[in-house]
Amino acid sequence: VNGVRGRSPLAVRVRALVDRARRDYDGHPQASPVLVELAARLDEPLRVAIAGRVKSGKSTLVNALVGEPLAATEVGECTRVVTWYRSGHRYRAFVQRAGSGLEPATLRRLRGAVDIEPGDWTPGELERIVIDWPAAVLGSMTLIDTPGLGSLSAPVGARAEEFLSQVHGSSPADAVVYLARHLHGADVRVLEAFRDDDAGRPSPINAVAVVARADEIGAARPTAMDAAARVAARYRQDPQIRRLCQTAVPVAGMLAFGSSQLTESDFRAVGRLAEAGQPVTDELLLSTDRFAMDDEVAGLEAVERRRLLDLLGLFGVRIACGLLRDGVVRTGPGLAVALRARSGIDELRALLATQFAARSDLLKARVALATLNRLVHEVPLARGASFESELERVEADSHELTELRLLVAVRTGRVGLGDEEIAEVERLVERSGAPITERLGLAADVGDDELRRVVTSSVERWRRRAEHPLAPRDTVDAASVVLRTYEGILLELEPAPVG
Amino acid sequence: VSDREIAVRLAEHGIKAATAYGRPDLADRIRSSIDRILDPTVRVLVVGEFKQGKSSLVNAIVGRPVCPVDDDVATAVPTAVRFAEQPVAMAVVRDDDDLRRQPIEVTALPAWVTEAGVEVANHEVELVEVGVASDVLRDGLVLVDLPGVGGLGSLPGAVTMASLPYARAVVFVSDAAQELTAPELDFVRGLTRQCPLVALVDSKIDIHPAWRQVIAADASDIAGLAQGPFAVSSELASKAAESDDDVLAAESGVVPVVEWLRGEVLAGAARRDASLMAEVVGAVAAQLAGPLEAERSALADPGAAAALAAQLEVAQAEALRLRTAAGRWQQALTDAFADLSGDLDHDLRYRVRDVVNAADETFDGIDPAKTWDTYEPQLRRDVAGLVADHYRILDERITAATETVAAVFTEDAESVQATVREAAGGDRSHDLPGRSPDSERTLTGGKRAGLGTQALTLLRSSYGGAIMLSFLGATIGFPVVAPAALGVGLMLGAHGLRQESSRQLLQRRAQAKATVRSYVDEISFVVSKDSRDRIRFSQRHLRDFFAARASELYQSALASLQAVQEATGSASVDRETRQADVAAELDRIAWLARAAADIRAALEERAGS
Repeated sequence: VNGVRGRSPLAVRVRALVDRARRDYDGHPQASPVLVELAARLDEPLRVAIAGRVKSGKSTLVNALVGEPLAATEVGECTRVVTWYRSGHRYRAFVQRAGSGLEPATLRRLRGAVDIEPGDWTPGELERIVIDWPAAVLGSMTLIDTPGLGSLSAPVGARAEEFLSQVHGSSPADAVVYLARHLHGADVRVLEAFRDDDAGRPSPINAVAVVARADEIGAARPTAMDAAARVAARYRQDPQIRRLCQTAVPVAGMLAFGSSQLTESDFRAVGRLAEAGQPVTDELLLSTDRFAMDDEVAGLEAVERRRLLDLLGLFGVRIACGLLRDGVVRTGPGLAVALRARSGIDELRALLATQFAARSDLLKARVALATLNRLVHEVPLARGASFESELERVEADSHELTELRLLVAVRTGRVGLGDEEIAEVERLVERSGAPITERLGLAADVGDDELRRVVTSSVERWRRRAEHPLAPRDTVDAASVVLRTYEGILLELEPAPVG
Repeated sequence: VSDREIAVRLAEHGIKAATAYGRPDLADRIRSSIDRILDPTVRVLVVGEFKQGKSSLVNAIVGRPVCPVDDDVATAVPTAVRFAEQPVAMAVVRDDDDLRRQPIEVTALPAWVTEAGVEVANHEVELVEVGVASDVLRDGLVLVDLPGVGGLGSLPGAVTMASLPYARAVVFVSDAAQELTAPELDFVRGLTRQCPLVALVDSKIDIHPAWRQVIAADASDIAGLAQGPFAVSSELASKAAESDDDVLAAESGVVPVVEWLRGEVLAGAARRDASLMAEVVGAVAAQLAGPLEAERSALADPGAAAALAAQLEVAQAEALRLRTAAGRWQQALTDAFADLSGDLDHDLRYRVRDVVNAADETFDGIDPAKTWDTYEPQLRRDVAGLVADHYRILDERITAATETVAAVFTEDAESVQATVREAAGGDRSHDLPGRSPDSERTLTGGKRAGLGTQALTLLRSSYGGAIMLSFLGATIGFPVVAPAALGVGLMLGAHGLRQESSRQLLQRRAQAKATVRSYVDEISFVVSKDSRDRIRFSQRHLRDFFAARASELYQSALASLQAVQEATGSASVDRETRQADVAAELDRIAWLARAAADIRAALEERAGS
């Protein structure tokens, strides 16, 4: 109801455009396969790439999001081939070599993670691995784990960059989650390079940044996540990052995943640790070396402690101990929930749901339009003029796309609006997948009349802004877009008031 | 007894001898070198990517929290930590074009050196110096905590590279969360090309269970390139310092780093400085011996004294010419530096033109509005590379020029000396180690390259002291145009492009090219000014250095002539007494020369082992 839209008018128009292109280009050796794939893509879940520099915790985050140990996460560099995790009824795997289709492969478990049996291919020639997996989260988005940027292995690094910058072809991902331990120069450059044409580039629309391995900030002290939250808050204010990403959130991927794997015996182990008293645990938790030492300490064998360390990390064990000692949690499931809550994964999930999943039509439409645009230019049709103008029309008069352009313009500081107005525009457009009350910055339980009153007064306010005779052109344009958005919301409110 | 103390004692003997024989100029030469021995500043740069624990490492090494450490905020201003009995802090602040030193509260450091502080206070801080009473620093070690570099391709990275000739060693810090990344390893490779002493520290081993695997991987990555890796936990070190816990201190792994700094870095520097001192004393001994030898010849054969005096007059004239603008080395210096400035100017222009041309070409075929964002990071990388390359060439050329001038000077100086020696009549009974006739060692007491090395070492230490400060800051504070601002104009109207006229496209191209040009010009203006400053400083320094050496030679020739003239005027009874005195004095000088030579040999042997 409230704000969650059905198939949007834009999606319908884009669908029609793609269908028309398929007819027009029917049988064309170059264009036809692209369009078949594009049409299929519109029906698929949103494709979300998990990107970042080497060892930034991409695979761990995939596992945390899915809640199962899928991607290998070891000390060395793990992900060397782009790996797609798709929703499927059965467990299946495929590989794809450059320039050819998917070939079936055999799944196996390797040290807990999912892997494929070696086949008659070399890892170097694989373009991607596709894993079909029945997991709820994959129903709303396909996750794409990418090799790390800045890898010491030149081919791996090159593959990652190639995937992300996509010099040719359409952007394989609709949205990107960019992981960085610290978003500094190099990461910003990588983000800048991640783009093809209009649709694939990271923008306040399709990219979110994650302050990854957040638990390691500040010597993994119990306050690490608070520090990480401050780091993320600063990134959200950084103009360079604002024009590339919608927002930034801290996530401790290892803790998020580890908490989902916590067993009853792990819980009891933490309990014994907590009982040993703070002086003992403090001493023991000074370093991972101490915690993993061979001797039995606090009634815990080395093997039990090492499992806890592998599962939760030093930060996780430290706060788990504290939670039990202070009596904040008393049960295994309770501990798991408390740890997950601290990991920040819930916030990221919510963000992906409202910002990506709920807007998947829009995000996919952008990619589709960009692909069609490129196609029209690379493979012109004899009677292409009418198709081209239809394409332009869709791009020009889809209000959703206009809104996104406004958002980018606002984020890059190219529109003369006040700070409060900018915040208003951001909330309105960025959160287009969220309930109307949230988009307006109102409490969720606000009454319909009040809602209408607020929207009506906003319409008035922005109309005055748009019609102000002395306002500069860019402000007038921006105000007109906002005005139309509010008018749209008003329309939505009129016929069927929310119950 | 340390190498520095031995060198100081030798120097004191040298000064005493020079003063006794009436050569204050030679005593001064030794004194100026003593200053270096007594103030043995050894700069070590601590570098690495952002938030790897560089400041924490500096704190762990000096054993107290000096550099501000924050979970979030990074160091933004280079911080030099040196020894001082009382805590003291000094900020080097830019005032228009001048640098001003200003005392600051030690407790206010975070406001001066961190990202957040710099933003809030809006200071134009170039560098902050902190003095603390840490034993590790007592012997002259200065740790320079640099802001994080975003790889070789970043401007701070280029700046680090450019300051390498003025640093004794570099510590590269990377946390044990993961193996070195490709950009990090590239950076380490770049460091080792210009600084022979580079060590890798893998930090934060307290929170990374798999640090041993990371260390093993890094060890093979840097094998043959850098020393280490040292596994360090600064966190454990600071806890150990708080609670005086020796076990914990050992676990922190900081001790081996301190030992490396003490051994390889400090002791190595002391050895080099002591060796240089011994070389100077040897040269002084040779200068002192000259007049005595001439006198000895005159006393031994009064009949030949007139001819001897005539020859010494020739030598004196030659030495005089060496001292004036007519000296060949003067011309060599002028020529070398004229070439060098021309070439470097050209080098910079050429590199700038390349970047600008490449930009022009890039934009000719395409619409800048669409490609600017991908192009711009490339532009910044190109410019950073340009800066780093230019400074590397600058250093190489100054080194080469110094050696050229030293070779010319040494040749002429030897000819003066040969004239004196010929006059003295080939008596080898009092041969000094500094002047064996095979001319492997020259009058000035060093190997052929010796004078050049001396000049260069002095140049670098004085330049480093005076200018590295302003340089480091000036370049980090480059007028870097905010990247977002660069392309803004171009993005306007990036939509609905197809409807636009080609005139607008042309306009955008012109605008893009102009943007690139003004950005590159701005950077190259700063670099070329700094580059010219360095060249001018080096030239002046070298001129002073060789002029002083020429003056010493002239004084020696003059003293020889006077000694001969006095000898011819004395009675025969006095002559015999005087002969014995001269022989004894020559013995004393020979002892000094031999002591200097022995010390050098011992130091060199130790350096080699």
